Amino acid sequence: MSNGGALQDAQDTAYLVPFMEEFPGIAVVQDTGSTDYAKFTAQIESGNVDWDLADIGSDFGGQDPARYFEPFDCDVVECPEGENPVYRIPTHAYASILGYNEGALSEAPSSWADFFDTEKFPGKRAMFQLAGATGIFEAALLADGVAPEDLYPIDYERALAKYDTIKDDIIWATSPTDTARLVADGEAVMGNLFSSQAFAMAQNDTPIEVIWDGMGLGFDYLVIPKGAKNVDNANLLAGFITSAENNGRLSEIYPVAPGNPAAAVDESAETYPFLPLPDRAELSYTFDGNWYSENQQQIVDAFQAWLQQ
Amino acid sequence: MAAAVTSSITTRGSRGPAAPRGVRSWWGLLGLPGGVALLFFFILPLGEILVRSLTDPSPENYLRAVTSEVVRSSFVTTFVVSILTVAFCILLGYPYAYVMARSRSAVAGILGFCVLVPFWLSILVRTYAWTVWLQNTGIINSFLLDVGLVNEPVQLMRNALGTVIGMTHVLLPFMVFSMYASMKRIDLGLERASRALGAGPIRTFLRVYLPLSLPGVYSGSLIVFVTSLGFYLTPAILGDAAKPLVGQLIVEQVNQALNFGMGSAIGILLLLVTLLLLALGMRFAKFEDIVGLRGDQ
Repeated sequence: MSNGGALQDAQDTAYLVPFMEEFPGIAVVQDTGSTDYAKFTAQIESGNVDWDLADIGSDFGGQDPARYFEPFDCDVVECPEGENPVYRIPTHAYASILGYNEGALSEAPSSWADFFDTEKFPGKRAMFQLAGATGIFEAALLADGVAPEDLYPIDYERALAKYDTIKDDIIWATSPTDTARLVADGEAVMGNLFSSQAFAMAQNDTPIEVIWDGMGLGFDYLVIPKGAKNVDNANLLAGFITSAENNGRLSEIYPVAPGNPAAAVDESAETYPFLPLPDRAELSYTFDGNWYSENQQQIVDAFQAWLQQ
Repeated sequence: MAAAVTSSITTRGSRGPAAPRGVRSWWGLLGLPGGVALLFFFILPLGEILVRSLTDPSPENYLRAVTSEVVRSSFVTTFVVSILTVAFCILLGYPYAYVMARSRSAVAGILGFCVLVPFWLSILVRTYAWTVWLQNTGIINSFLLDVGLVNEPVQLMRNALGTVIGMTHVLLPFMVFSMYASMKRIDLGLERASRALGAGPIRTFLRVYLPLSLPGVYSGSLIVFVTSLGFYLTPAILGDAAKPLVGQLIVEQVNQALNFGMGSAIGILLLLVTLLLLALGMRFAKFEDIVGLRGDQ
């Protein structure tokens, strides 16, 4: 179970097809759509779990993993160091970055501070309307002078106050794809994008350029939902996907960085310039998923109230 | 997705002769599959939502919802947008239904087909198609700017206007068919009588045709209004992010904050308000008219 669209197709090609060649006795059935946390929680609570292995963001289940997930078998899966038991295996990394439309601006922006400078860079800003680990709070705080290491715990009131300065120039997008489309169409001149969308747009020759400085790295994890029916096979598949040998395959066809630091990626791949590798930016941070799962209700409420002011 | 309002009622049937006493009719059993489906797929889940709203974590959900400025203002926005949608549907739908009702059946069929076409397109596709027309770099604004009618793009979406345009497009068929059903029942002999008695065409329309077509207007309005209350996708894409409808609020509580209790409580409140409005609406239109169950006069 993953997040649908191009990512899921790429995961199919990079991992599932070769896995089924290696283990012909196991049929992997993909559920499409997205790993909706509400649905995930509902399944676990009802004890009626359809998924054996799911791809989730870092902002779910981090502080009470035993409630939501089955532990991995570290004899089958290359577990990250220092954790025991292991409930979540990093599978790939994405980045929240600043993207802009080349044709719509006379000069190129270079930082999140420019994102908030509507005098120097006039035009609308596109943002994904989701109070969560999308980088919207971090972007505002970095622009406001907070150092990356001081971002967490997030001072969301301060971030929203920063957005007050450009509130009339923000277009709220309904999905990450929509954010990229708004920038590509020139409906907005800049946007808070995900690196994978930027790559997809570049493939279609749209005038989107990206700024790596100030990028936010987020990890997606593989988890076995608590109460899954085929735990052994889920371990086998998770071990196959996250091994140093296989984990880089996805990055060669889809612009996400490997979750396993030992995995190598072919530098000649088309996706390589768009991979959010740690050495791309001088200034970067990693999303603190646990902070998000602990504070989700507060930020949703604060964000909704702020929007309606 | 739009929330459909499902209703099942029993009627006295048409005014045919009553079944002779002592003969039991088994026709009622035909209603059983539908009734069972309603029970399992509608009534029981609704019961679960009600329980959740009171127990996850406690009835305090309702206190929080009722005292929240965000919830209150979204209810206001929802009603304003729904009323505007009804008004747009009446303005566009009445003349259209009028022409449909007065055409030969072949023409009426073609007109009805045209209204139904949008039904076969996904609501997502339809709504995104509107953005292509309405956004600042969209077709309409590009044209206006090129011709020099405006210097700045006109905001046609990301506001109440965009939401109402999108929702009117989705709901217009309900209005048209309600009105059409009601207009088809009007005896055109009454018009001829009015003209023969000396009234002009306008007076005849206002004094004879319009009053007789009002049940269709009421029932269409009620269906459109109640359905509007549950809209989520259209306002999310075409509307103003700063003025969400109740449906959007529920989705955010459940999907982003994972707060099932709060989402359920807001949903139940919306249902209660909707039922209250239906009850008020019944004073203007008979329920049998609304669901099209009136026997022939």
